[in-house]
Amino acid sequence: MTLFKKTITGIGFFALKQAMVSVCHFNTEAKEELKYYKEGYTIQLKVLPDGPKIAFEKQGDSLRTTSANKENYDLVVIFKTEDIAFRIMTTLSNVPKAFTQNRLMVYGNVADSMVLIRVINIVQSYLFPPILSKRVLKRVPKFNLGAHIGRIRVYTLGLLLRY
Amino acid sequence: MIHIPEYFEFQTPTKILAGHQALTSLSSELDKTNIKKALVITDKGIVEHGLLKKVIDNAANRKNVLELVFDDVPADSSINTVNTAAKLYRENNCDGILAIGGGSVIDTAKGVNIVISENTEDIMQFKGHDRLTKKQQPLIIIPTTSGTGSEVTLVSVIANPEKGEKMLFTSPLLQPSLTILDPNMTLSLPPHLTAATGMDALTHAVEAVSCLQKNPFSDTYAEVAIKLIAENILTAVKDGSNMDARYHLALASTAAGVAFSNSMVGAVHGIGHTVGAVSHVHHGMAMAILLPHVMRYNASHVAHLYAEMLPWVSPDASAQLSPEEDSNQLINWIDEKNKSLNELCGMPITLKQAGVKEADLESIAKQSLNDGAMIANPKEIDAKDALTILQNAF
Repeated sequence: MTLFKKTITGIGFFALKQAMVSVCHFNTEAKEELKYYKEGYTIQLKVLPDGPKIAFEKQGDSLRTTSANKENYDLVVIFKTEDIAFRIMTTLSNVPKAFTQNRLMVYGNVADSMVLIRVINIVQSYLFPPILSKRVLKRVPKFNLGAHIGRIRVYTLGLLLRY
Repeated sequence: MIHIPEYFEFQTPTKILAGHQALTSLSSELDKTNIKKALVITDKGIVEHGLLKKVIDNAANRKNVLELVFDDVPADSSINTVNTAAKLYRENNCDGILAIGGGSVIDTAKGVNIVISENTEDIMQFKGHDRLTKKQQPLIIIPTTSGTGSEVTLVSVIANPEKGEKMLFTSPLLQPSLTILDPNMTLSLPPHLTAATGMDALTHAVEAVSCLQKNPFSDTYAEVAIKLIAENILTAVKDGSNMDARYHLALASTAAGVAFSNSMVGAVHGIGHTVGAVSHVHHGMAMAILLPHVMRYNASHVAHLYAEMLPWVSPDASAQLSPEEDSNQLINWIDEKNKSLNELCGMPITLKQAGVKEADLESIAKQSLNDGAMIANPKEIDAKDALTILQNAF
């Protein structure tokens, strides 16, 4: 993998990590989805063979980041190659497509991973402008004024400070 | 135009023996696999119907390989059943598995194979998607229904009663080594189950063609399955002793199994699994009821794909119309087929007839979103959409 792709994938994972925490902090749909997980539920996303790793823990009605180097998590989603991670981070592919293409592995309950995918969908709708959201989401949600403000919040406070 | 995805994987390693007397090849196949002591996994119904005896008789000079029988598989395979059978396997130093039965028996056999091959005491460690790493033990399947396609698929569903959950295991390593499709083994299937399992196979094929990971190879298998089901399902339900119809449905089930194992299924299965779990509706019946309703929902995105299937079920149908009209014709054909099956054997065609309570629909809709099949559906479905589909099917 080229340094360029590695760098973009690394930045993409960083942005996803920050945006996950930020969006779950204020978005009611994401909070509703997270109710499915028990308190302290842990999630890791990682890229094989030695790409970026991020991890989250459910705390209250939101997510917080946690160490990405623990031995066990309740749910682990693995990107089988750096290429598929790059493609997803750059909207050349998307999570449902990668899953059905057998380019992701899931360690844990598949039902739990469906909840995570819906949360990622919500996060992506904030992270990407509508023109790019269309490439990664089967249905792009309609944004009202509050949601547009939420997007600005993700791009500013969220990416820098997590909230 | 053939749809070619940017990337896909296709694997079907299972050797298939098919024919009116395919079972007579069992003895030579046991020689080839070099299994010295198999664990035969089946259920009490199979034993009572004389199907186990039929298999053992066909093992001829290799009968001794099939002496160890575990026939305690319940209607829904569970972790306890898998562990008990795996213990028996280990205690007797078996070196292969032969499963005779329907979906639950085959799921159990795959579960035992995970426990043995991964050398674990805790199968739960391996739940998930593509998690297995070890080459599996030889697994021979002799199906007694024509619908699940489990004889060739990479999936196993096993219940964990303690946690009240159904655990999903998917891995290409789970695909059996050999399957024997002999219509003599499905003769005892009663008309309503012949109808339901046939519609299950039809659903596998239709969803394989229309879901996100459709590919030219899975489409080819799906086409074979759809044509064979269209030609044979009513005959097999009317006359269960028609060996040709039984044989062709068995082939259709396996072809549909190969198709969806490589392209996944969608919302018919996602919602149908939950209907089964909450309201205890037979899986095939839930598929038959929900298929046309989910197709109507998905048609705005994949009418062109449904239109492609119309000549497969109705060669005389006009394909001159628009994709939307052809798609409607296909959905109407499925509605008609359901009505005919209802008249022939009483197969329910609404969720209400199948015993689903209206009060449960909302909860089914919400729960169904967490089914793994939902991700491959071509159109996004939220709880409100799923509820509308369920209400239409009620």
